[in-house]
Parts: sequence; structure tokens; C-alpha cells
Amino acid sequence: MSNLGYLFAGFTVAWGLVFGYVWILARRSQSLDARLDGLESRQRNGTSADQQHS
Amino acid sequence: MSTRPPRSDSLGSLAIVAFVVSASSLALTFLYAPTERIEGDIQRMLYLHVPAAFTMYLSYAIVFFASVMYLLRRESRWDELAASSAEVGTVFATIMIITGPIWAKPVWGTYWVWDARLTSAFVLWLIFVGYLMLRSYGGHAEQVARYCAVLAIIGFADIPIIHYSVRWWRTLHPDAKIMTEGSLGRGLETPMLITFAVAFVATLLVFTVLLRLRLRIERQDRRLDALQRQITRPTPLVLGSTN
Repeated sequence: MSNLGYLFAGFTVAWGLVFGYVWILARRSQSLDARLDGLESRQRNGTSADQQHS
Repeated sequence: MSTRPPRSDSLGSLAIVAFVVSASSLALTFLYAPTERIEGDIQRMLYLHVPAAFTMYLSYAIVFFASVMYLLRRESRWDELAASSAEVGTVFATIMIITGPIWAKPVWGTYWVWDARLTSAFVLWLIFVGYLMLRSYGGHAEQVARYCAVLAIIGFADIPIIHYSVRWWRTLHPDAKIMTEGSLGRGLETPMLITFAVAFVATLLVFTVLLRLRLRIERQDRRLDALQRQITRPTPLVLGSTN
């Protein structure tokens, strides 16, 4: 491999890692958002049901 | 009402700035910085490898500080910061560990030698991979936070060894060109120094964006755990009076 080949490989791997990590973080955040939405609505429904019972 | 960490507009703006500065850094690296006389084009790896290494130092210094603060105060915000900075720091440590051998092969004729600098850097990477594995195993949250804090403090002791290894022992890895005692950047020509400074700022901006994103996820995760505990907790039985 030429010098430029090594250089290209280095920069590609580094930026690939950064963008890959950003993608993983975005997916984790979306998944947590969805689970939080579900739990929060469940909690709200539970609270309103409790209030109706009392 | 939702109690989750708010989405930040400033993070979006910071991400755009980081992207623009990173693109400028790449342009300077390939179009402006002169080709080094001995190593040739591969020397441009300096603008990637060295900022990644310094950013790794910074992120693990944050982990060290946050871990000490957590052990002293037992406040979860310090543990959140330590966990987030450790993960982002390990991304930069991985970049450093991978780009180093790619730079070394055409210059030294080999990808890897077990000299003091490379070995101590690899040990640090292993320590923080272990740290992240310990966190992912779960268990009692406070106990994991305590063990991780102790591991981070022990791991941080490796950083001065990495930094000064090139002076303390005979190594194939070259001595510092950027930060030498008594001067900053004495070993580089001015265009190289300008390119390095921009690359360094770009890496710091990328680190800040990643850390803030990761910190937001850590807070979401803890909020989710708290909500789950709250919902699954059995409702206390209220005994009324029979009178």
C-alpha cells in the first residue's frame, strides 16, 4: 500500500468510527425516548385511574 | 408533564460548528499543510492521531475528576459525567490505537512494537474497555458506580506513564513535537502548526458534541430506570378503620 493508501485508510477508519458512534447514540436516544413516552403515558393513566377510584 | 432532559438547540448549533471546523481541518490537512520531507504524505496523520490522543487525555481526566467527586459526594450527576466521558474517551482512544499503527507501518516498517509508549497506551485502552464492560453488566447501581470510580482513578495513573514513557525509556515512538518543555509547537513549521491547531479545535468540538449527546442519553436512561421502579413498585395496602 502506498503512503496515500495508509493515509486514506487512517482517516476513513477514524471518521467512520465517529459517524458510527453518532449513529449508535441517535438510535439509543430514539429508543429511550419511545420507552419513556410509553412509561410516562402509562404512569399518567395509572394516576388518573387512581384519582377516579378515590 | 414530561420530566426528561430537554432537547437542546445549542447542541444542534454546536454540532454544525463542529462539522464546519472539521471540514476546514480536513481541507487544511490535505490542501494547505506542506508535505514533510522525510516521512512524506503519511506525516499528515499527525493532524488526526495527536489530537485524538490529547482528547483521550482530556476525557479520561474528566472521568478521573468526576469519579473523585462521586466518591466524595455520592451525587449521581458525577457518575453520569464519568460514565459518559469514559465512553466518548474510549472512542478517541480507539482512534488513537488504530491510526498509530497505520502511521507506523510505512515509517517504522511494522504496525506494532511492544515499546513503553504503545504498551502503556494499549493498557489504558484495555482498562477503559473493562470499565465500560463493568458498567454494562449492571448490578446494584451504587455499587457499580463505586467500583467504576475506583477503576477510573487507578486507570488514570497510566496517563503520565504514557506521556512521559518516551523520555523515561528507549522507545521507537518519537518524542513530543507539539508540546515540548518550555515551548509550544517548536518542532513544527508554521503552516503545520496552524493546521494542527485547527485539527485540535475540531477534535475538541467533536468531543464536546459527543459528550453532551452521551450525557443526555445517560440521563434518559436513569430517568427510565426510576420510572420503571416507580411503576412496578407494589401499591402499599392501606388498612381502613372498621369502626
